[in-house]
Amino acid sequence: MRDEIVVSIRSDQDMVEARAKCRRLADDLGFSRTDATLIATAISEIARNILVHAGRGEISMRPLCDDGRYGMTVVARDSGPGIRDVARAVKSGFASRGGLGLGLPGARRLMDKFDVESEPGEGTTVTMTKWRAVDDLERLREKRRRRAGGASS
Amino acid sequence: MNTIELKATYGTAFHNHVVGPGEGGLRAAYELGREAVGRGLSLLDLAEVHHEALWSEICLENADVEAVLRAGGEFFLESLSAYEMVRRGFEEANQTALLQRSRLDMLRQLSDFLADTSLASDSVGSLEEILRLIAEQARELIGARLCVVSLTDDGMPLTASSYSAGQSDETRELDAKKLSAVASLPHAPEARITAALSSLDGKELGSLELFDKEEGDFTAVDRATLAHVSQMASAAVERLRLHTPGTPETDRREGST
Repeated sequence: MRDEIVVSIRSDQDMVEARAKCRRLADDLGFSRTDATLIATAISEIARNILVHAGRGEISMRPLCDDGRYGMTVVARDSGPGIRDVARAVKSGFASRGGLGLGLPGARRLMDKFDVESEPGEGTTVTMTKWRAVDDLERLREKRRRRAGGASS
Repeated sequence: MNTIELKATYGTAFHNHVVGPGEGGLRAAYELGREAVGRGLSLLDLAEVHHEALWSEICLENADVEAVLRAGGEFFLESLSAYEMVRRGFEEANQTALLQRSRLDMLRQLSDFLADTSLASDSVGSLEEILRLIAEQARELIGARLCVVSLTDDGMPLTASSYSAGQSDETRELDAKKLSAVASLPHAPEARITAALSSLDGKELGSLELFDKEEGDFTAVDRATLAHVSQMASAAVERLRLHTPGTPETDRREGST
């Protein structure tokens, strides 16, 4: 399995590189094209936040494997001004005043797990995970594996 | 950006992506979709713009139609991703609104419950009446098939129930034998929830039990609602006993004065 991939975010071009690397990793892990697009979009939203609010930061991605499930975790860090009210920043959006639900709330909705750690003046770390949908063939293999495990025990 | 401006920008970006496909082009598509969302352009506008850009590329002399279609698919997918974020936000807002509405309904029913309890406390045989009301209200509020409320402390033991028979609206009380049979059936943990009835000084008065949710399993919200109802029911029972001659509470109170 591939190691962690780290991309420094200092310009729009870095955002393109982060998207490209995320898409390659998603492809290696067997994500569908639609899911790869959703992850690339979430990364773009987070990278945009880094560029706008902190100026620079980094995005790292690594594959996940848990009990036969494959996924990807993306961590975005910056040393910018931080977020005063994290809960509000993550939850606001469509239902708030004039919000369209892009940015942090939009990224959250595209991923399976989303966590933000931030303190004013201490920067922000966003950790997000997407699991790959298990296809029918994998379900069948898993069923056989469990059956074989049950028979041998 | 209006539709005409989007057409021009989208056409150029798509052409560049067909000529040199790559992440740069896909990122441009994502930015265009995002811009379109921000400007309030509809998904239909974007689909129309995409179709025109695709058609223009296919009509070019020496166009590699297969490559244009492949590039078109990924470019369009990328431009739609911002709309997907908005759609999910809309869905979330809708669910929040539904939840708020159900909370409002719950508050209304709790208020009815309080009013009914207050009336029942003045009637003859009111403890039985209050228990029946509690069973009925808790069952209807949470949407369960059966509710059993029991007083098991040192006062007179009492049980009341409310039972919904299948799809009909008929609700009735079960006799003690049937009630005991239903309640003693094995229930999966998610098909039975219980809350204690307690006095103000923490003494257990009895319990409130719900069986078999009408749709799906009991949720955390159902448990919280039941806890709320049990607090109100405990207060109603205790208040009534304090004012009913011959109950241990009244005797204790009168003895202390």
